[in-house]
Amino acid sequence: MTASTEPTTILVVDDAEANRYLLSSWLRRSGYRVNEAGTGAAALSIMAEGHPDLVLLDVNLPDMSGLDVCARLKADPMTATVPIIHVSATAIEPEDEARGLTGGADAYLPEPVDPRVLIATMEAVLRYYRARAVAERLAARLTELTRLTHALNTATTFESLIAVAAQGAAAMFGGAVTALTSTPFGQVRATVDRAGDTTVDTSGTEPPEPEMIVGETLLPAVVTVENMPWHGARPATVFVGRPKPSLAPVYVAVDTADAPQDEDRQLLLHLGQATALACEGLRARSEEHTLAVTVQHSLLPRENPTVQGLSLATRYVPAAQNVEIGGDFYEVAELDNRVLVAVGDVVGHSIQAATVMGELRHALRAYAIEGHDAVTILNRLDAVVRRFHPGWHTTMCVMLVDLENGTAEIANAGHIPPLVSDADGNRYIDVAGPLLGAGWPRPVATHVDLPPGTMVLLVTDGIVERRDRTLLDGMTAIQEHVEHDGDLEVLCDSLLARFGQGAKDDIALVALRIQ
Amino acid sequence: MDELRVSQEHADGMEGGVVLQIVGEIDLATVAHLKEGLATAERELSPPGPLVINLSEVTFLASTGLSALVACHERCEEAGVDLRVVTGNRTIAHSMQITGLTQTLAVFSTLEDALGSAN
Repeated sequence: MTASTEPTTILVVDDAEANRYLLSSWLRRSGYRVNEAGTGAAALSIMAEGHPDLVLLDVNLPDMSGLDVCARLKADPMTATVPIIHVSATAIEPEDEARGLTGGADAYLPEPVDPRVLIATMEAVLRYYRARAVAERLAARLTELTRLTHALNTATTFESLIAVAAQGAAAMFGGAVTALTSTPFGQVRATVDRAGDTTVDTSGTEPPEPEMIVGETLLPAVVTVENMPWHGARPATVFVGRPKPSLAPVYVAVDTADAPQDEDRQLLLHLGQATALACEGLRARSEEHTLAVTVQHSLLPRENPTVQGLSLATRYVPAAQNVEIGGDFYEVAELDNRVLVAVGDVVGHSIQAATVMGELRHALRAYAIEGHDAVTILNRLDAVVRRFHPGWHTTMCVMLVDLENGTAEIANAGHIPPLVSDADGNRYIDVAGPLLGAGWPRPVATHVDLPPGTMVLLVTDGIVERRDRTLLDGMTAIQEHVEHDGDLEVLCDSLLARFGQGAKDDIALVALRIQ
Repeated sequence: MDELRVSQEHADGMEGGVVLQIVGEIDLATVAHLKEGLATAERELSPPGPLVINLSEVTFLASTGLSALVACHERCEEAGVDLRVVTGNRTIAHSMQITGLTQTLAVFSTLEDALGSAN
């Protein structure tokens, strides 16, 4: 706490006017400012309006006991932190003194009191209270710093991170703040003015190099600068630090007048370091995220092929929020004289499921290109799962469409069968078989006719299955929802809107129409 | 709230056999508990068992649960133990049908049917 330039104010409470006068004269001569009160009620009323730095309180008052006045002042949070010294003209019994001190008084002096003893006792008590106030203020600021650090580490953009840092510093130091760093996308500067309004500016050029501000001093550092151009050309106390030696510097500047003490500079150092660390974390996370998305997208079809004689719409919606992929997949590929259409679902929806999915998709395409029939493809994939991913059971439905003849060969490994929709209605194709990875024998393929105008829908169970609705009910609901002659993209969107909300599993949809 | 209770019982006249009662939802969060229960039950079995898994009080069976059943079947086959699954309600039965499990697993509608069945 700064040394007060205000004189210390004492409230003298004593019903004996002569006494009051004596005490007050001593105190005023010693440089204290004095207020007076003759009764307990008057004292309480003065304290309610604004309190002195210390109260000298006579124990024997006409309207109430000084001990009661003390107890009341200590019970009220607004006045509890004002030190109280009892003075007593009557002889003091030990139990009186004990009672007074227990009641919250800081000292108990007998009258007549030697002025030197009085002032020495007062100063001792005030010294303690001032030190306690300093410690409480520091504790409050450190709590604020901890809260701020949490807010810094949960920021998701550099703009919000730097703004949070500036606002936290403004709250802590009570004045204007400028926080500044540069990112891969340019400079980010947040300014908080004395009124507390925040502005974030990303248009500026690179901030100055730290050496221009701190010279040879090692980073991180807090330095005082006479004139800081990007802090309103005012004298500033500035934190300068780098998250990592190779990364852009972080600056947090406050008005020098707001950070006069060593404690203030220490706090600014901590705040600045917390900001720099949070910047480093955010940078690392955005790099990781970009990498993950790139890898994940390489596992999915880049874009749907345009196949003569077929219109097509597909959707892929992963279950997890911050992941772009899961264990579901779909495939549409033109082979020599057939079109491969497939959907699949690896157990679970983790990143691991996605990598198994990636491998199975590549294996599926390889076997399909070789010209194998649908059941053989599934048997080969079954062997792949058992050999290379035991336990990663996968459902898959494979359809090989012969557009020239208007037929399709379908084999199903534990998946929801395809839904056929035409002018006669909607029905699930009767094709079933064990899922991949069990090594069980599978039935022969099912052959169906697909005349022009027929629509076929393949889905994964993410769109169908819910806690409160059975798979069977979900399949029936979709069967009733689909119309054979609508736009395929509109159909996919309506399926997702109607059935896809709140899905806990990934969703893949493939809708095709024979033209 | 996901919850799964797995308990083991012996049925009369079944030496070396175990009945596993499963109650609740089987999904990614609870499947580990199911697998523990299966492992414990398998240790108590002696061929030809049977191991009867009663799913009639299972309210949700995710693909991860089906996967666990397939793996269990493989272990039972290797050990020469007869695996029987009681599906009870039609939700579970339908899931097992679509995934082709009913083709190879011995599936029963009630526990009585499963226990009364000859090896």
